[in-house]
Amino acid sequence: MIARLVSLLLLAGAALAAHAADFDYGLRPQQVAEDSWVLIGRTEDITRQNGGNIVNASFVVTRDGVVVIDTGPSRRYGEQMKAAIAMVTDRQVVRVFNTHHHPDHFLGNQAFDSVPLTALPATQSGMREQGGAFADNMYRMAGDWLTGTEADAARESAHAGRVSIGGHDFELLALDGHTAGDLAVFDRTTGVLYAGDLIFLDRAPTTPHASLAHWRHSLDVLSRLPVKRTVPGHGPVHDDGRGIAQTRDWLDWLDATFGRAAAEGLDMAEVMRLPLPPRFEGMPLARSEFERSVTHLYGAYEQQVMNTAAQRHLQQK
Amino acid sequence: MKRLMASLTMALGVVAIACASDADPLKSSRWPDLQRQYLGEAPVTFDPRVEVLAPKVAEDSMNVPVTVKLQGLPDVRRVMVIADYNPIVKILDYQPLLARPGLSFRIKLQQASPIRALVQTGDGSWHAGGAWVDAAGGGCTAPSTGRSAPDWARTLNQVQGRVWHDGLNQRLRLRIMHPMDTGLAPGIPAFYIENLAIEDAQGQTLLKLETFEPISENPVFSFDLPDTGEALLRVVGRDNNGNRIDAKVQP
Amino acid sequence: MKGLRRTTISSLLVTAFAALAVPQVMAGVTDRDIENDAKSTNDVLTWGMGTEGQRYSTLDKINVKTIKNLVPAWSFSFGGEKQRGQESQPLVVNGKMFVTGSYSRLFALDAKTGHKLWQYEHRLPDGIMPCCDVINRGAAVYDNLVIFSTLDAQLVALDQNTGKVVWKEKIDEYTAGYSFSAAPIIANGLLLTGVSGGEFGIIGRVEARDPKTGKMVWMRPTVEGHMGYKYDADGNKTEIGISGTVNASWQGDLWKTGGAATWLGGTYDAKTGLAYFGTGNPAPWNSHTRPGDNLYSCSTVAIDVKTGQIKWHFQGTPNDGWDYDGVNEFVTFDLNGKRMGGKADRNGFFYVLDANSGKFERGFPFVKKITWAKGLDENGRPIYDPANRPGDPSKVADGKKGETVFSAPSFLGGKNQMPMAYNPGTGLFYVPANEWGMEIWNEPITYKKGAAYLGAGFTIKTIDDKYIGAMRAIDPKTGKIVWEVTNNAPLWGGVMTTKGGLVFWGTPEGFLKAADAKTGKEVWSFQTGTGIVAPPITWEQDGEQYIAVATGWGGAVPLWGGDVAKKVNYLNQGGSMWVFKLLK
Repeated sequence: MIARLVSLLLLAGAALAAHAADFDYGLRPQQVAEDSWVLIGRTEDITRQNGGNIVNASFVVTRDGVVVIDTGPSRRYGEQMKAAIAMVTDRQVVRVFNTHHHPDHFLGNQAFDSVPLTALPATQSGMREQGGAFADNMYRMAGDWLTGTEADAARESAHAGRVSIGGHDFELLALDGHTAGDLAVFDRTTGVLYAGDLIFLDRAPTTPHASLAHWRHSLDVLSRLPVKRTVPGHGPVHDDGRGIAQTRDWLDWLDATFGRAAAEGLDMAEVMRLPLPPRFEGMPLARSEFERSVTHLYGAYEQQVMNTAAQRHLQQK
Repeated sequence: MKRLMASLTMALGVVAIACASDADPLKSSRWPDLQRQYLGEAPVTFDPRVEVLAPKVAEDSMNVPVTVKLQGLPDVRRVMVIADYNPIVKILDYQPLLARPGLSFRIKLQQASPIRALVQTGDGSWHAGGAWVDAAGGGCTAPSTGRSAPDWARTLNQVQGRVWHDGLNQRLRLRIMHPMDTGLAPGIPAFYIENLAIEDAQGQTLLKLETFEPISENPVFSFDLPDTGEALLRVVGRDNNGNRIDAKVQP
Repeated sequence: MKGLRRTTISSLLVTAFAALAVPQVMAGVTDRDIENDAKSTNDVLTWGMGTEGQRYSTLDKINVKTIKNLVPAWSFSFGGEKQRGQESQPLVVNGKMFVTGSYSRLFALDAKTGHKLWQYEHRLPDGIMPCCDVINRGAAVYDNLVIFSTLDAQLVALDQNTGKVVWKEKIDEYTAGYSFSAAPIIANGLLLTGVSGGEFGIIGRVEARDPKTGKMVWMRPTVEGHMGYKYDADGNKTEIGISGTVNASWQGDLWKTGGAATWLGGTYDAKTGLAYFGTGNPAPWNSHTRPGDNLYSCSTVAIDVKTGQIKWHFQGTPNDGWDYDGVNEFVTFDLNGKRMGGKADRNGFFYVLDANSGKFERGFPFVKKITWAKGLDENGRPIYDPANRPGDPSKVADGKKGETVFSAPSFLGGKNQMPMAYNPGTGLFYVPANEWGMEIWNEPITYKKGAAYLGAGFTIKTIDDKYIGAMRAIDPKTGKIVWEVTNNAPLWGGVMTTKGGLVFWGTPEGFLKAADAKTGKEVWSFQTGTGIVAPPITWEQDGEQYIAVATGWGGAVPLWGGDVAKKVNYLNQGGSMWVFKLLK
């Protein structure tokens, strides 16, 4: 019994390794609206098996050429994305938007080096300052999928407002909260919102550079748009407000949980062990993202409680 | 069969502490040396009652939260905490005296490592428990952020404290402003808090703690004490430069 | 003046000449001077005190009897806040001493008084990536030039009299991990240099230049599969053949980032016409990623300096999995009428090879504990113990960390950068050895330009609580350790031996020591105030014999945990030149 289990495990490992050996992300464009395509990533953590393909990257085929929104986790991904675009159009890529500076959204930039790479100014500086460290970490997690990848920061600044490209009327929204610069791209021509990581669905949100208050404000802004279809940064494309609602629910829950834990005097490692509510229990990566969020965010809650109490109680000698 | 299952779970990356035993359940190559160094020839049991709570992955190598939880282990006299693969292995040495034997703190981690609590009970025997923490690394050799702030000396050894009561126990949380430099960052000498103690209003020592370089900058500690109502608690200690820590916390 | 040296009255003339104390413009250093360096006593023109690297001097005024009167003549501080490891061997030319310091600095001093003549400080970019401290091992002299390498992988030639830059050439891009810190050597009119950066997946090579201009003459890669080139006067290059055969000892593309850095430079024997360069570890450390012998890593590569072709190679550690760089110096010597070479390899074995053909004569351990190999076969190839190679991480379910094994020697080696010495009088090699081990494990790794390319983790351990370092006298004919002097901290400086029957070496604890070359009895020591990680030299000036050593603790001293840290973490840095002579 055990022997069979072991050999099954080995077989599974061998199959995965064989898959990983040719470094094919298997990118298949899925049409989400007229001219509009998405490459759907897995709702997993970055591994040596998935090569970092955990993200949604999109492109819009306009009359004047292709607009790309996010380039994926590696040079290889960017190159394979280019090939995937060529499966549906022979038009050239004319513009790349990076929604924010996290590595799974821009390490494919090298493949589009001749195209204007565009991001919010805060995103550009984030890419410049942290891109190298992000790339190192991605190498560590995804291994040989990253071969040849270097952080290639966006060189053009995006600003809030309307941009018309080849018959598509894009509204650029300069938001923040997931990071210091979160670009959401709303195609008013098709009604598709490319939300970047402001919206997660059925995959726990990540918070390494998050401000919960700003993020919730950005969700308010997005919820007022006449959106027909939403492409979240991670998770399935959807036509209702589920992504916004679920992301907000998670953020509210984090805020309430951390606030209550701090008021009760829990220490970080204890907070990490708190139970997840049933609605999040089955959500991919909920436990590990919650644990990470404690490190990212809990210190501020704890300090706030210490500050208010300490004013009254502390007598420094 | 049972052992086979255990080794399978290990192989799948899940570290499970099985029943009390003498073999290192964390399977660290450093352990035999460290055991000799810190416990000498004394026997040690890996004991499920010694729990180390820590994240699986250190999201911030400069601040890895650790809670040592000791439930059901009677008469704890001493709690030593070490990280096998840190360049400075020993993190703290705690004597609970009148306090509860568990505590919480944060550490700097240089690379993936087990974090262990070695607990001595009144009969002299040692009980060990621990957890692996994965880390991208560098926590011990980076300079403290306080070092680059010109006014670190102004806030040095300032204490913030807060107490939570439940009638039976009180939890004391302390935050002490200190760079906690390891001496491993080029050109920055080791500068860290060496010892801390909590005393009650009558000057009786409730707990004693020796701390070492791997404790995080501006350390935060949580201790659990018997509830003493509104009585003052006094925090005393010093760093390795002789700077004194002396503050009162009013519950 | 140089020509006079070989006459019997030369020392008298030199005395008379120097007595005038007028620093005249002198004839430059010639190839003949360099080839004669081991025999000439009033100068030190080469790293190794002779291109063969014997570090042997025929001087005997300082000997077992007189050494009790050896006292400091002068000391000179390298100054500034740049007190890191000082691994430099000084040169002495026409009464001037040239010594390099940490952070790519070079000092010219009056060899008799220590008076500073000039100093050159190379401007280093912030992004340099030296593997193991900001050290330099010394300079070369040729004609009126003193030439040294820098941490940002450049070569700088300075005028010996003025310190002005005469030429400067770039070896390679420091941003890709290249640097260089070894002393260049002069061989048959060519300036030979290697490269450092084996931890970054660079490609090892040997370059030959015209020492007067810095122009390239030929280049020979030390990773099998790469093309060698020669250069014409205008710098146009033509192919002179691949090193070995593509994919013969490497699979796939791995040879393109194969390491085998020639970071310790080389030696040269005019009798064989061959330059001997040791090569470092193959990249990455994780050997499971690169099946095959991975030539010419962990080898001695003998290159015909006239053609730039590899005449022979000898590999100590094929498919290295322990970072046993084979860079250690190959020291040629005469044995039973044959020209042989000795090498104390980082892997713990001492090899005696035919210097002309590379044929394995014999090999034996020079450290007491070797776990990775059970021994050597009749060709000198190690007989591996497969159980003692770190485990393959891809064979573990989560693929993150292979099985940890204990290995001795540690990755820092039975011997590291510190050069040994050979005394033709005693027929013994004097080897600064270290006894230590390590726990080592492998992890998956992907090459990223300019990033560390290891795929391994380790902790270093002592084997004997009492000592790590051991200064050993080794008989190349028998493999016997004739005597040893143990040392608490690891030995990291080099050795010198003299006709006066002495062996000199420094310790991290700060002592410059001398022992009787026959018996190992310690006959003299002096505390220099900081650790010594450099080889001593000796020369004669105005009828007096001088001994000199650079001091300053540092080098490849990582953050050793546990028991090794206790032996080194109290040692303080410094940066000085110390010179000694007999009390009159």
